[in-house]
Amino acid sequence: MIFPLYQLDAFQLPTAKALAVILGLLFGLVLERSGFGRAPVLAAQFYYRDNRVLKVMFTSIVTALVGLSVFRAFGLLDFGAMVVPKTFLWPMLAGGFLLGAGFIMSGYCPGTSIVATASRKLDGLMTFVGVALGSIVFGFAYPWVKGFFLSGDMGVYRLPDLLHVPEPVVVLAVFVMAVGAFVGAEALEKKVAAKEHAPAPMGLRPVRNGVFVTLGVLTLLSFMPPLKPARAAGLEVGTISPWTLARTMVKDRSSIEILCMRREIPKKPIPGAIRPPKGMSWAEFVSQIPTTRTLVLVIEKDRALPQGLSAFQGKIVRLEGGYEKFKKLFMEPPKLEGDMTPAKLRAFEERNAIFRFLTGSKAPSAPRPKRMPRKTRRKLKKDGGCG
Amino acid sequence: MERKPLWNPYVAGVALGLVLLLTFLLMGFGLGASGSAARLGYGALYVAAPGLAAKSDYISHYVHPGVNPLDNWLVYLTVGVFLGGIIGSMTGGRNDFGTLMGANSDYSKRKRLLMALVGGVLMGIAARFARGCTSGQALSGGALLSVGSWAFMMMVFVGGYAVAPLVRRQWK
Repeated sequence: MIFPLYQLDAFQLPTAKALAVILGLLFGLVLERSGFGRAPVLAAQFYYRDNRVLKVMFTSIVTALVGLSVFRAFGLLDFGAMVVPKTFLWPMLAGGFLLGAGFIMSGYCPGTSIVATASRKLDGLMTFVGVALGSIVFGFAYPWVKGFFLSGDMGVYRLPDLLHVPEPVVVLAVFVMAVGAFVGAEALEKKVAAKEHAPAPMGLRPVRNGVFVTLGVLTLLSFMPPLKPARAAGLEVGTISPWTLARTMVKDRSSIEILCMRREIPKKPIPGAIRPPKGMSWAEFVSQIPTTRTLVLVIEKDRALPQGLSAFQGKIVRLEGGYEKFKKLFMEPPKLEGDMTPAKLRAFEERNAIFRFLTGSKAPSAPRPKRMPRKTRRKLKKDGGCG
Repeated sequence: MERKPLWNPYVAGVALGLVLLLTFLLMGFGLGASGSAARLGYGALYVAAPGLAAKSDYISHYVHPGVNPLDNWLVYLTVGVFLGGIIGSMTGGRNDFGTLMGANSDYSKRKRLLMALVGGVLMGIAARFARGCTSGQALSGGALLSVGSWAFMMMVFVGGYAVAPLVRRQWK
């Protein structure tokens, strides 16, 4: 069995909805037992008295993170199928600050306010109503804040991509950082307790140490080379049409990696296409590519795929029609035909825009002086040229 | 009913992490909360004033004729969280009617509730900008090592610590 089940179509939406209630029930139960249905427990975090929020949150992140990498190491998880939240840096930084401010004012975050409401706490209910109201306020303010809302778009961008280190190193770093934070937090609690002549919130030492050791050992497991790649059906790959590829290259370049696998390397390759340096195997090469990207293979039609590709755990697709078709469509200036229907004209204009984007060269102008929307023009100017 | 003690925070953390891991393995994405609050708000607005709701393109995206904003995975999850909260607080002896603040706080009940509402509104706006809250971004995105989620999480703590001195009396 390969996880994640729903994303790999192991069950359908009605089952997913039923599961949501069960998973939510567990989530709510654990939040309640963590003490997160009570505002003073949560607020204590921000007055250095009891760092329960930090401890629970970081322990859970490390647990889930380490769990995922263990499943991955055993070849049970197809990480390419996971939905990783995209990064929109500026609104996320600002949103984080504002949410922190609202957190200490209300005493809850949106999730814990639900648990507080379920525990019959009026302040919890008011917080939840506030979150709903705030979402409505945002809805009406959207036309004015849209620019900022969409700013800092970095697509799916993960810490291993940012730091240029292998994934297990990041997992280990997060674990070490968490333990460091816990040690610091407990020292701080002791200090504050001594000043306020109150007992420090000490947990059971053996339990705590047991948790750390277990998670630490599992963290090291993620350094193990994968037992088998999580690709159930060998090397069966899907296809991508030249049009889809071209549009993705313009709009969402960071979501794909184009692999030139042809025996004969064309003089004018598809911009940004990569291949391993001499002496490096395909397996070694593709294992360095972030699995959140989709690999687009440019390869002769009848040739079999090299086995080494199965080292890549993400999604792989083959370019339909290969290099020739893509080149004809988007790397040569499109020609005008005598009689253009509106649909043909639209296709012509899009091909023209993509051609200019990919080659950075001047293409024949459109048959009538219709200019592209300003946004597209700006984007083309900024990103123009070969990758 | 006698109040049961809270779990050791590290044990609670492992339990929460296992719930999150189970969600990842089954679904391929993590937990979330603010999305369902938004959907409930948009749905309520649509029922109360459909004309007003239609004025916002953003809200109309979530709710328009033929589309029920509540028929959504996150909303089902929230129903579960609510049930889990009831079961947890009933069995833990913490299910009693009240308004919570610091033991020595000089806030009136009304002021405390107003503060909760205003804080909630700020979080509602914030969670839209950040595309999630402490559950969807910090916890779930954090465990998936998303750069934006980590940036968000750091800023939640910065914002909390920055504003905490201003509302100290609420939590005395």
